[in-house]
Amino acid sequence: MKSYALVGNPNSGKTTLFNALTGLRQKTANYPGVTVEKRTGRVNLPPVTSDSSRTSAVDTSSPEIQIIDLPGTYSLFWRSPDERLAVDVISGHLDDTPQPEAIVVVVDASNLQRNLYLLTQLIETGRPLVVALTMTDIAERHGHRVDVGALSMALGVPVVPVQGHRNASQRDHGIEQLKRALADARSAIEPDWPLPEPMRLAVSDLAPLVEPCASRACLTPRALAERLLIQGTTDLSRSIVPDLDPTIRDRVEKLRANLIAAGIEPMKEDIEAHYRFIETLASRVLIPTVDLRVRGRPQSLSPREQPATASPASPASLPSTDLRSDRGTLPVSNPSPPDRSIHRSPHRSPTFSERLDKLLLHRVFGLAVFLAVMSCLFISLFYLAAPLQDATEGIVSSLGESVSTILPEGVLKDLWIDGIVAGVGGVLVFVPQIALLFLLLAVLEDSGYLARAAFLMDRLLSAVGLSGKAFVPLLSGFACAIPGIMATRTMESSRDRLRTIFVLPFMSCAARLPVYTLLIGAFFSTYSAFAQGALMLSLYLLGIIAAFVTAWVWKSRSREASSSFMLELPTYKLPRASNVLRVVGRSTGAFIAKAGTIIFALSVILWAMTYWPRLPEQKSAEVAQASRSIWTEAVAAASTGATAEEPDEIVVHGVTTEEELIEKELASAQLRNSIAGRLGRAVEPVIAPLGFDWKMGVGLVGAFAAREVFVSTMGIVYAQGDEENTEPLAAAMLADRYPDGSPVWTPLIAINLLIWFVIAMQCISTVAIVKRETNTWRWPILQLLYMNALAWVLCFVVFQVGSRMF
Amino acid sequence: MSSSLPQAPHLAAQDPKPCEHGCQLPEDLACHAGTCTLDCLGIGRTGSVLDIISSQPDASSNDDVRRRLMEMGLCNGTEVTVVRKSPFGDPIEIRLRGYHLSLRNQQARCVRVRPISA
Repeated sequence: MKSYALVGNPNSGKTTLFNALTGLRQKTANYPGVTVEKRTGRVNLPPVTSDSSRTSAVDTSSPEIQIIDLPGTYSLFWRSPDERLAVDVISGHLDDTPQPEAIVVVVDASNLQRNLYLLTQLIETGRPLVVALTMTDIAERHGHRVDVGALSMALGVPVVPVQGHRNASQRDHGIEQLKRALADARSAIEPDWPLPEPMRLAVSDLAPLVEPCASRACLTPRALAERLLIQGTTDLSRSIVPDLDPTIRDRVEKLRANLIAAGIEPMKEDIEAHYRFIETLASRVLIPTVDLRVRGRPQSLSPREQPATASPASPASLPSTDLRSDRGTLPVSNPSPPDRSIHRSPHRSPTFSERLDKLLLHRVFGLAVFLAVMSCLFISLFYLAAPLQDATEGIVSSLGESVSTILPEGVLKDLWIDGIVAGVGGVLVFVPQIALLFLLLAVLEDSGYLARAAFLMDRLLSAVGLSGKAFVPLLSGFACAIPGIMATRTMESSRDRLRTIFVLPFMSCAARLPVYTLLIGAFFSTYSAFAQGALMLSLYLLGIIAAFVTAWVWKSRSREASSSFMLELPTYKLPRASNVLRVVGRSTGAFIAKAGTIIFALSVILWAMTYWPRLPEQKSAEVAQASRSIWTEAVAAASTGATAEEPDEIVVHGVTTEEELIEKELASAQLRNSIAGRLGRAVEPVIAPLGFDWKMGVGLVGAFAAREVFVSTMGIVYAQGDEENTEPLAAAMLADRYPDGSPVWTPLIAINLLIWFVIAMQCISTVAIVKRETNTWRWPILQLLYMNALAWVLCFVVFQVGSRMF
Repeated sequence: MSSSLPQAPHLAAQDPKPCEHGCQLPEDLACHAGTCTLDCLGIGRTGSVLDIISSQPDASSNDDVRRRLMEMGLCNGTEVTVVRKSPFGDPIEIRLRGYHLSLRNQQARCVRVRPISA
């Protein structure tokens, strides 16, 4: 199958176009560098007409093709891991991906010059190209329109304006034309870059010599010659042309030395020549829409009349014949300085984004808005989600009850109630909250605000050794550490990236939210909603502080120069409902899938571990007997203590009847005897100094698979033997007592457990992804040890100090 | 630093506001009258890029920050406007070629510009 790669600058609309082309659901957002991995989808091409197949440079016999969506890059000289991936796919250096047949270059019309720079580099690869022109509506709002015919003519490749984000009713916004144009992909006319004369001569001199190596280097001969002059025959270029002849190598070094001696720096000249070419090109293809003066070109076409697709192969579609004279003559034979009015225009009125930024990036209001946005994000997480959560809880429990009435008594029913409903159901309850978090993040990302947040926060983050570019990964970390860690691929500095990955799991992810909610709800429900909110907030802050202190200590211990920071601030865009819902659907779907698979499996396993081995008959009898005697003693004590007054209600270990007491003691003995109980008791010596009992130990062991499993484990542990399952989990935990009658759970223990969950690393998926992203076991293991040791020490201090104070 | 400038008093007279100097250029690239670096251009002011000096004094050809700055469009003659500083003073936001870019003062310091009188 033929494959086509989508290549373009970050935030140029590649992924939106990919969605429109393939219909595949996947994530896009208005933050530079959202796609950090390649994704593929399939497209059925429309039937090939005889005309286009005759002139086609690409064989179109197969109607189905593959589209590869690549991370955005500004240049083929990559600086960050995501850019490297894009470059490797284009040049065919990736083992698992064959070199794409052709490249669809996505060019943002509202930011034409810088987008054309990448295009000029792609021209130099000699690969067949098709240009997809996006954001033409924004360009028009900014006051210019792109003359598609002229652009196509000048480059010698098809150019198709597309509106990837208009769907449904306005389906056909260039997408069908683009599909048809794919068959027409061809290598662009290589311009004669306006280089200084000595360098031009050197390139002409070298090009024929290096021609045999050119196609393997994925460059045209002239481009390879330029590349060698820029980099010399160092290790860097040796990786492109490993088998360069020594005589050519000498020739390269001699020419290069001559250029440098003449005060010509090849790299600078190369880039500037590209931009000179771009400026000339842009001045010809950009037609002002508001400025009435049209510079020396017939503007006969209104946007409506303009052909939707321009292909160099069909000159009939070109707007006017005099454009053809541009071809070939465009680059060099234009000695007059290029018209730079496009980027000069001193009296232009500010765009909407610029006016909005005046407020959103204001030194006072900007920060206030930032704080307000972040607070709203977290507040709405609890207030908006609460009713939804109650509804889900109702559905889950009624479903559990209705099914349990059908099931016969026995192991199966126990499994259903105590294993599946308590485990999976307990986690499903948190779906609304998690969906909401993803929704809010998606809205923020899609609008373009997150790039501003990175801009605002860079100074603070760089002070602790992170960077503004760490902001979006860290924020994503509040949803889940895994996409957050993936998002660090956009960072150029490997030190900054490593540090960000290392501290990112301190961000309280959505999986910790159920634990926080459970414990705060159980132990602090008597406090006001405000106090509960403040406690929740302080948990999030604790994680942030731990991350910052860790990063800061790391930074100050290693003497290093601060790294660079360059971030584009894209135009604000209205978040698109379809796009946002797509993201939410995917993320929530993934969470539900996790609940349905991993958490389901773990719940069953944990349930089995609490169910078997069963307590022997003889042992149960002993426990029952002991309970009865406790009850009798209590009754006797009560009757002697309260003679005259009305008899108090007798409460032993939180229950009020003898049967309940026996049942409870039996369940407890059963759990203690089970595999889980033994496991919990095995870890008890380690966690006892923190104030945790063996039941919490069982929960902590389970939480190592995934944190939210703690809630389901507690559900299973406390539902054991409680046939009706009527007692809410929180109440069951509050009622739990040590044999001496003191409560197992106190607010101090709850706080300590919360601290443990904030700090400790207990997520196998995160360990796996850190291993993958850092390519070594060193970092995930170090992270695991560090975070858990820190959690233990912190909890130890809090419990030891706290229990002496209260 | 500016007192020791050897030449071009006429340039200084021509330009209404020569750089007031936080420019920390290396000795051999000492700030000339009428030129300054992007970090001290002043908010709202526009300059024309002269060149980008290496952030690493030795290996200039492997300086990928310098290359990327040029690739982002900061070439000789490009007009660049300082839009604002972030609330904490760093990074800064600039506008060039019709788009907005933010970079730290550390990188802006590598960009030599000739201020254009507004």
